[in-house]
Amino acid sequence: MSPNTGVRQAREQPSREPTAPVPESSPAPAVQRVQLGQLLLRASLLSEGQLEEALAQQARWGSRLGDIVLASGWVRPLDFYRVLAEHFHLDFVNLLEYPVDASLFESACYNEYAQLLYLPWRKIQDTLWLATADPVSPEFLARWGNRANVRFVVTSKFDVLWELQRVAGAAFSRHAVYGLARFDPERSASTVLSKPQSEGFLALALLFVSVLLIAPFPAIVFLNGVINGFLLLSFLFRTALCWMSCADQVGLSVSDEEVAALLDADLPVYTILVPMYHEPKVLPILAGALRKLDYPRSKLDIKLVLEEDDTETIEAAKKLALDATFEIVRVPHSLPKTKPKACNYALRLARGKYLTIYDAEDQPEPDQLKKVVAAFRKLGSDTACIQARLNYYNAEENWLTRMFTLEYSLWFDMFLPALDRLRVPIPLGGTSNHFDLVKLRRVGAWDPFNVTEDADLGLRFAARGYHVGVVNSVTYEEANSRLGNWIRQRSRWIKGYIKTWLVNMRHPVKLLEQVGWRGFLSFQLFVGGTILSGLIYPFLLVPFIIWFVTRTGELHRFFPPLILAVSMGNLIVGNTCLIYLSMLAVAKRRHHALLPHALTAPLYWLLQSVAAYKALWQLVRKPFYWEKTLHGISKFTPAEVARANSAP
Amino acid sequence: MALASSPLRKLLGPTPLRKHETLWARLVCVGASGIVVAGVLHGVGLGGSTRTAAPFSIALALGALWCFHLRTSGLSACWSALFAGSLFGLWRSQCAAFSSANWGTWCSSLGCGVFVYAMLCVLSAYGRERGLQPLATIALILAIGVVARPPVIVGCILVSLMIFIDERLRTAGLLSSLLLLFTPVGLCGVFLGIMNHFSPGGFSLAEWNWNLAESTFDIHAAELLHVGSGTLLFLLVVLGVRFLEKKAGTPDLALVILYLFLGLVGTMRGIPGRLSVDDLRLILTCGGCALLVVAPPSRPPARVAVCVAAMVPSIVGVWL
Repeated sequence: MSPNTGVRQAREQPSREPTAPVPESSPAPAVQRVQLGQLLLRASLLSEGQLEEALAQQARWGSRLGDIVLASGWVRPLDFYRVLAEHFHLDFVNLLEYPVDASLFESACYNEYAQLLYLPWRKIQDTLWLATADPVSPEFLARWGNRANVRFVVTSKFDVLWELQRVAGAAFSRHAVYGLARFDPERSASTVLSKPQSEGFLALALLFVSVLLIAPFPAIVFLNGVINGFLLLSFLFRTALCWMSCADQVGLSVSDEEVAALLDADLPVYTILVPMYHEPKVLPILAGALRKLDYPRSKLDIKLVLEEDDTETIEAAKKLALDATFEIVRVPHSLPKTKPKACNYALRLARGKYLTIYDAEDQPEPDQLKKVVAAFRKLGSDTACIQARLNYYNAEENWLTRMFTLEYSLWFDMFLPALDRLRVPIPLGGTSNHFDLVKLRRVGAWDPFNVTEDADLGLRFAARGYHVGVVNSVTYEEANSRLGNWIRQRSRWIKGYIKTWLVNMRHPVKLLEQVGWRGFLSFQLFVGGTILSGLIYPFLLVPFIIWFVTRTGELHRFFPPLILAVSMGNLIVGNTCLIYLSMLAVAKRRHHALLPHALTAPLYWLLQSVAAYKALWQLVRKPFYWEKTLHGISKFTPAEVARANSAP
Repeated sequence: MALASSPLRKLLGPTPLRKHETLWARLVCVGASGIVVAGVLHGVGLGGSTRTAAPFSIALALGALWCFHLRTSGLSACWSALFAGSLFGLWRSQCAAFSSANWGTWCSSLGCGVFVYAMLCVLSAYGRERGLQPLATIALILAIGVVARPPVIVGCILVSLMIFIDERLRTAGLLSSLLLLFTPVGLCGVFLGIMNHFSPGGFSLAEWNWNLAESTFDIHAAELLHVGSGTLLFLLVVLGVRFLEKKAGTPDLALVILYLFLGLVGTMRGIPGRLSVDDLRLILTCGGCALLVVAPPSRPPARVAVCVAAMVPSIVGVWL
């Protein structure tokens, strides 16, 4: 199709007015679809069989034919949009060849541009030319349809997003980094310790040192008692959570019948963010898993969120020749270089009603998105997020992966559903958290300065009065199989937990008012307990070992009878809980082969302590540093990649 | 309909716990706990002849707690109070039997009774709902039971093994089933065993009753039947009522097995752990109370029969 003279002139000489007609209103959809299909047939872009299949899918999914054809990958996007322009008697413009006039952009409209897929292209003699990838969108027509001095040209969706990022990328990036810090500074981890916190901790430290100098043994005994008492409560709380989750009906359950009852036509557009950094190897696994999702493809808005300097993953993504439901979002370089910042950036381009995040090596169960939609409908309107359960596909690889699987089963199958049932804040897991996009934006999205942004977000939702649910769908991931990599990942998690605790404890009374006493206690015992148990575990174990080996009576001074009983209780209850609760978790998942391995859990928790001290050190030295976890290092990865590639 | 709305029916019929009663219930719990603590302190602190006040206090507290538990299981407030009141004499006489013992023996014996009570309640839950939760509960209760007398904990382990193993074997292997059921008790036992073994040179733990060196045992075969003077009658009536009302099930079987096991072990010499006839009576009474709580008798005659059976020892004692 050759562009008409007016547009050609506009391209070359912006002062001359293009002559392309502007549709007065949206033509009848049924007529459009048939015509568009015929045009695609005529242009030999689609076979008759493909058109029939697309029309059948259209009847089922309630999507537009164009979206279905693009999502199927039968037609190249550029070819499709040329035909679309012809269909509406508009001109087609390739924005890469004829870029937009950036001076026409209004920063207040950036979100609108991304949502409605249009951009102001040129302005010639008081006539504004808009380049749109969706000329019949009702919202777009309502905004621009009846303006006398506005004309349209058609362009590709990818050109719109590319140009939008070219012009507004720096602003998006600034907002991704500083958005929360400006919107809600008290909830941002950009400052590790607030001034009152610094002063408070300093005062406590001075007080303790003073008491230590005056009466050393009572001071140590007091500290010993406080810590041991808190830990015992934390262990008992976890046991209670686990016991609750042993009941079959705990947690939000969406049945297969409920999933089957969903009409595809009623399903909303779903955005999937996949932030990656130097992970070209595992990309095929995710692409394969996403292709298997039981969700109308025309309603998927998948964004591979890549750093602009990560050329190897960008090239790997291009080589996969993904269909038009996949978009590559290049995040400009800025600090801190964290996953939440990348997600914030991509959030500006998200178009779905719901949004989820998957890691590069994730394999969600095919019906997960439908289950989440059903769950959102089941739960009240105050639900902001649904967390899917995580588990590992390489559990049997080595001792570390077995332990990791035990721990994840405990966390996602036992603790989180029970927290959900108690209606207390849930620290979200790293991936497979499904958000209501409006509510996510309302709370300021992710904190780029927090390295466990997901856990922090769960707390922020709770503080705003939103509910977070846990659904019975699993995403399988790659468990860390190497010790160094595991320590790196775990130290980041614990550092993030410490930051989350510090941020939320800036105003303890306010937090108490927001989440209630139950939520407050649960936060202290669950998040605080996780941090403290990692740090204290060696101190529980070492005196026992010293006593066991030497049978010395010297330790009596630090352990008066009551504290001795609590301390021993911690050692016994703590270790028994760690072991037995892990057993229950894998028994619930019917992964019985892992049961005996739970007996070695105390050794795993020693590793946790190593990571905890590394996290503490990093909190002081590099509080915003994101320790990258390597993916694709499992011996199972090649098999998974091959399986993904061989899938239809 | 007239009967249904009559005041008597309202008073005696099954009623769920009302909202305003939860405050009352909390007060009862706090009060009862206070009485137990006061009773123990009283017994420990004063000793001698004044020690008779402690059994009374503890019997009162046990009665109040049991009354509350009956109430939460759906029995009307009136019947709950009647049951608790009629059993008070039995509680008191059993607590009084320990008046000459030290407080550690007291706590240990009461602990055994409470342990059996909790275990039977959980077993009844398992009868209603099969799954991981009752199993986990039993496993965790067994872990707490390491501080009970060895014959009691061993008896409970055997009972739980008989009841759970078949079900678990169908869903998991033998090793997995055993691990799920006995890991907590095993680990706690190992930890305590290690500590008790090594404690003379270092940390001296409280005098746990898990003292494997002790081997005296007090029950003679003839005494087993002598138990029947009061407790056995109460227990037989409870079991009979449950059987007639077709409520007998796993917990009843467990209690009978436990009684036979403890009796059998009691007659043997050289078995570790001290368990007297008084301990056995207390355990059986707690077991009977647990059976009443998990499914209280439905018909008034049955309820009256239980109350009378519970009061017989006190009445006979008064007459004598």
